[in-house]
Amino acid sequence: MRPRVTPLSMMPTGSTGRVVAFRGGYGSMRRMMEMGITPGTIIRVINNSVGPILIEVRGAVYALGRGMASKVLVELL
Amino acid sequence: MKNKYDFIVAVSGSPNVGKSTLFNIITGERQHVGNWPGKTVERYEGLLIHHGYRIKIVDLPGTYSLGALSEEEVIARDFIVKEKPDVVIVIADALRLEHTLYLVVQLLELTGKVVVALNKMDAADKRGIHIHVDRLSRKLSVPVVPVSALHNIGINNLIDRVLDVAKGRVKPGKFKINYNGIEYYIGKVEEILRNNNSIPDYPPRWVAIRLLEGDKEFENKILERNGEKVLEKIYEIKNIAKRELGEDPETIIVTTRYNFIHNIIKDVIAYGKVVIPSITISLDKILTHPILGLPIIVLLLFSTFFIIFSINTGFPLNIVFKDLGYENIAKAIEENSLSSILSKIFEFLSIVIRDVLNRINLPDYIISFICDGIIIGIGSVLSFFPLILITYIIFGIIEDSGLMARIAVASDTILRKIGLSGKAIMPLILGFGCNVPAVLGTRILEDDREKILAIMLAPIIPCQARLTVLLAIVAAIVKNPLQQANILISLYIISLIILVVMGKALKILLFKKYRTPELLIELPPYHRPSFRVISWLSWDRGIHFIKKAGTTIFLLSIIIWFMLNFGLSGYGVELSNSYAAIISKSLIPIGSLMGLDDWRLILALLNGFVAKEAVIETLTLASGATNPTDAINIIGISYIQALVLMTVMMIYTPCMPTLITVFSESRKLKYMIIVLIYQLSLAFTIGIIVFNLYKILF
Repeated sequence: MRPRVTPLSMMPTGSTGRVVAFRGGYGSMRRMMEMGITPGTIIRVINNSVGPILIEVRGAVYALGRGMASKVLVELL
Repeated sequence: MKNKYDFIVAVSGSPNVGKSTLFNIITGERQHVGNWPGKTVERYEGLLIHHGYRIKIVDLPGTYSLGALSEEEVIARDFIVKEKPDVVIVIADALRLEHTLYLVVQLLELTGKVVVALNKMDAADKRGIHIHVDRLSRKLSVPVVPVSALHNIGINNLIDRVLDVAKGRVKPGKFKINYNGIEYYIGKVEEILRNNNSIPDYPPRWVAIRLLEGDKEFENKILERNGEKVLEKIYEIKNIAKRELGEDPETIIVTTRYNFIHNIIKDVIAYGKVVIPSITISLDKILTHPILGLPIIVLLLFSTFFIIFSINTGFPLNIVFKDLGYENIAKAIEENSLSSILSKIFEFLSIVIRDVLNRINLPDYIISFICDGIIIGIGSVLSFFPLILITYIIFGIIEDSGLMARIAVASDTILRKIGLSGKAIMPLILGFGCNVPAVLGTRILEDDREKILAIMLAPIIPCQARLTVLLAIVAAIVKNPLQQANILISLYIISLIILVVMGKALKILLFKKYRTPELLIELPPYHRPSFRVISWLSWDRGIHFIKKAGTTIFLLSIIIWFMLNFGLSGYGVELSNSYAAIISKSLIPIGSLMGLDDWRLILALLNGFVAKEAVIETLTLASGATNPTDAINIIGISYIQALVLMTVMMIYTPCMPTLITVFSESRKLKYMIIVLIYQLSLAFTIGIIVFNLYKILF
């Protein structure tokens, strides 16, 4: 079965995924990577409703703007 | 500097790891705050005496990384490389070990003189997170000391280990991350750096890695020192690496670093229970929600300001007690509010000193200069202190508890409409207490343009001093409490509308290509705030402000004294013949446009430039009354005049301390002038509109 790849902004609450790639600007990508959102990282979505998305990465919780989240491609696990 | 101390120790750590708490515990009361040279970032230093050694402790700015993404990161790494501290204490958070080790690992790549303080160990134990400290220490090849800064556990042990490293008793092992495929290119860049002696202070390998990660600061330095050609060679290597490896070098490097950490974590940590408690998750879901969270947050902030205002001026707690029928308690609250106590002290000082000076037969104008000029001047400088202090303390508690990050997330959706991100909510709401900490608070914004935008918008927020003026005027002209409330609320709404309109306007006018930065903010675990740390931080910030702005406020007070007491015929003229009155009278034609055709009203507004409270004091003084209500009756201020006066006072110009702060934070005179001009013109325009509308309607 082909792995399902979706932007992080589309991941439902409670789902888990692995970061595959980034699209878009250097600045925002760099900031996310410094926070530990690197390719291969497992991300758990704590809440995705309106406004920024809450995610858990490497034991820390982040709020991520939707625009930024749409630039992270994630393979759903 | 070094000979005054036996050792210099730097403390570094990511945000929210408890760095301030640890710094405070280590240095106790012996510390001072300043700014890093040429920067707006605060620099804290303290002294520690341990086993007879005098140790200087320097608190480095809290950063997630040592790249050059922010001013703070450059300060931190420059300090380590150029001032060569004997030891760097780097704090990791046991609750978020993997995440906080990122900075630790970067530091270890830079220097071996490191001791890792593993903070919040007690909390980790409770959560069922077990960390094998010795194994972690071996993997990192430096001492790792478990501590709890909040409960003062393990601090002695930490300092012992720091001394061990400082004295060379413990030698750090070799620490090197293998970047695999990219190592070849690191070597290539290193070679160029060595050949050109490019960035001599730093270890070439470290700089090489940074350059492959795209470090703008180092790139600029090479451009300055070695010219374009050398930099191009480095770019070329980077491009080849990207082509050969099929991925950006920066992605590979950051990922390798995180993988390295992940492998350590696997060996040293065992989880007993869920890492993030479900209550945190549920709470976060509600609090950060733009619809569900906002009412809770508004309620929280409302109570916060209730407390701040009540401590400082007695309002609105006094009203509550008055309505309940406890007149005495209401009065006691007013009389024991900070501002009332402070003004009584200065009144008393002024009387006592005037009495003493009268006895030694000094000329009148010298007595007046000392009592009405100098003492009142010092008084107005100090009157800012409780305002700033309490605002900082209460918001320090909200921030330290972890709530502020949630508030930022919840307000992001709304703030984006005026070009700001959720992070700007903190400075903006500080503004309801006092505009000065609001402008200072914009430091947390990383994007320069967002910061400038927030700096220019913050002074519109109606501060507490403006509220006291409004209260005094509204109480004198309207008796019905409901109508009073209506007027106050309308004025606040006008201010907020101006905020929204100006946010959009400034964004378009000043920064055409500007796009509001996306929110990326950590939600730290909720925790009990350390009151001790918050109070010293707030105290230091208050003092720091007084030192910086005090002289200017003081000088302006002296000038105002001169203008009020001197006239064309010298000292001792009636107030109505003073220079201040002459200037105010000459402005009557402008004031008349909005119905303010009495020179005393204009004088009050002029005086309000020093501090907004002065508007009421001036009215009282100029009318010869003893309280604001009488003053307003004696001058005969009409209903519409009062409305215009309040509206103009809300908007016309930030007080001078705020303007000074706008200048010192934006570092451009231009922005201070823009703030001054746009607020002045808005105030006059709205003043004229209100006056004429009223004339037409009634």
